[in-house]
Amino acid sequence: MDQVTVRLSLNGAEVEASVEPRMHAIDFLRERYELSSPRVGCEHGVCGACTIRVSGRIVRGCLLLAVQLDGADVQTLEGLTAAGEIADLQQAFHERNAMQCGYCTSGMLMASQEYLQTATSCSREAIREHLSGNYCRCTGYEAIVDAVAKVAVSRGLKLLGDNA
Amino acid sequence: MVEALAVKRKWGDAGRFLAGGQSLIPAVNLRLNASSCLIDLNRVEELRGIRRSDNHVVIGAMATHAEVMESALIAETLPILREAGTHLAHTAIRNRGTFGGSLALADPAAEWPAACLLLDAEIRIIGDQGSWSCPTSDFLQGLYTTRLGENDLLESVAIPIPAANERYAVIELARRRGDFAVAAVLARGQVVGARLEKLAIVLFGVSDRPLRLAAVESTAEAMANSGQSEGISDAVRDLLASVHIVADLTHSVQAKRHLCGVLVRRAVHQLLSA
Repeated sequence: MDQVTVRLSLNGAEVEASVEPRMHAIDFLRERYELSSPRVGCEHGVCGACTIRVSGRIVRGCLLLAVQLDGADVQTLEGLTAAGEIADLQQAFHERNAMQCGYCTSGMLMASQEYLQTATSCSREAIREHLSGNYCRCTGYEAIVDAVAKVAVSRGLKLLGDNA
Repeated sequence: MVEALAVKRKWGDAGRFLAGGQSLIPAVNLRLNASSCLIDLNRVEELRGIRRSDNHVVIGAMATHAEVMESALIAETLPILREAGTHLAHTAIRNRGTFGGSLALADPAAEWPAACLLLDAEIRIIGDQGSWSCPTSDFLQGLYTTRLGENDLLESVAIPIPAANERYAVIELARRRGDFAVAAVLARGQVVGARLEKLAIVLFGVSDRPLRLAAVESTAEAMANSGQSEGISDAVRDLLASVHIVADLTHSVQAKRHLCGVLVRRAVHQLLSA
């Protein structure tokens, strides 16, 4: 099939690549650039393991085609980590042991960061609701919610609700 | 847009417009859809945006769910959309999925088609016959079925701005936040003195399309205004006995009829106490 040239900003670097139109964004990032943080999970938009940030907002990497990244600013967990943007969140996940197998963790961190950036106040219920598009089959979510709530408070958000 | 329509005409049935792709791409991934050509609408500027036009709000087909929910114009004129949107999937889906895409898909458990039906929205379409439009009630033809012809493109949705004193209710029963509803109700109405007037109700997630039933509306309104609002559940359930209700994996037809009755009663109470 004909190849299409795409140019994008990938974790802060300008890149150009030739892709088949049928290639998914998640495969493009993993196979061409060896960015292994976005995971291939359900491949139909349910599990959230493939979460990436495109032009400032989180999206499903499995529901985008590589050609649709042309002109976009794409960030994966590798980019956020290198920039130090979520160092506190990663530390909190580590301290609270908010992962077991770790497969969902990249997506959890990406989704949690968007929540923390957009929330004006915070509650455990709101955290759970925001992360409801990300599946974790190990932890039971409690430790993940703990970690996000801790960072919310340390970043100056007011924690509301019974379990504050 | 002219280019997109031309490409669609060229490919015909083998081509498919790609909006947000939050339903079409899963279908492609699962090999349920095998279109030869996907025509990406994400860069068609004419299809974006949310604007006011006289006494209507016009939502471009490619406005994302997140844009609808974050719009100051929507918050001011159609707050029911903002609230209904909180039940719609999850953040990452809302950031990419589109208002027009949801309408064109016509999932019977989706929020936007139900809301458009409740709000008497007009669906604006462009295609082989030029520009045309139809009311939502006519546009939605059944399970994943609409009035859109092979080369038609949903361009925008025009929603009349409700009266300032109008109240609304959004109640959804889902097994998990963001999942498709087991049963859901959207309602609107005005309260004059202690009377509920101009009550409109849409039930969705329970049939092959969202349901707006005159008998349910008139019965619920009459009972609300005669001190019988507690009886609305049973009355609505009984009215639905002759209506085509569809079971799902977890709820029988009988359970859905019962839940519809309960949801309508709760919606009426919410309108009266708002």
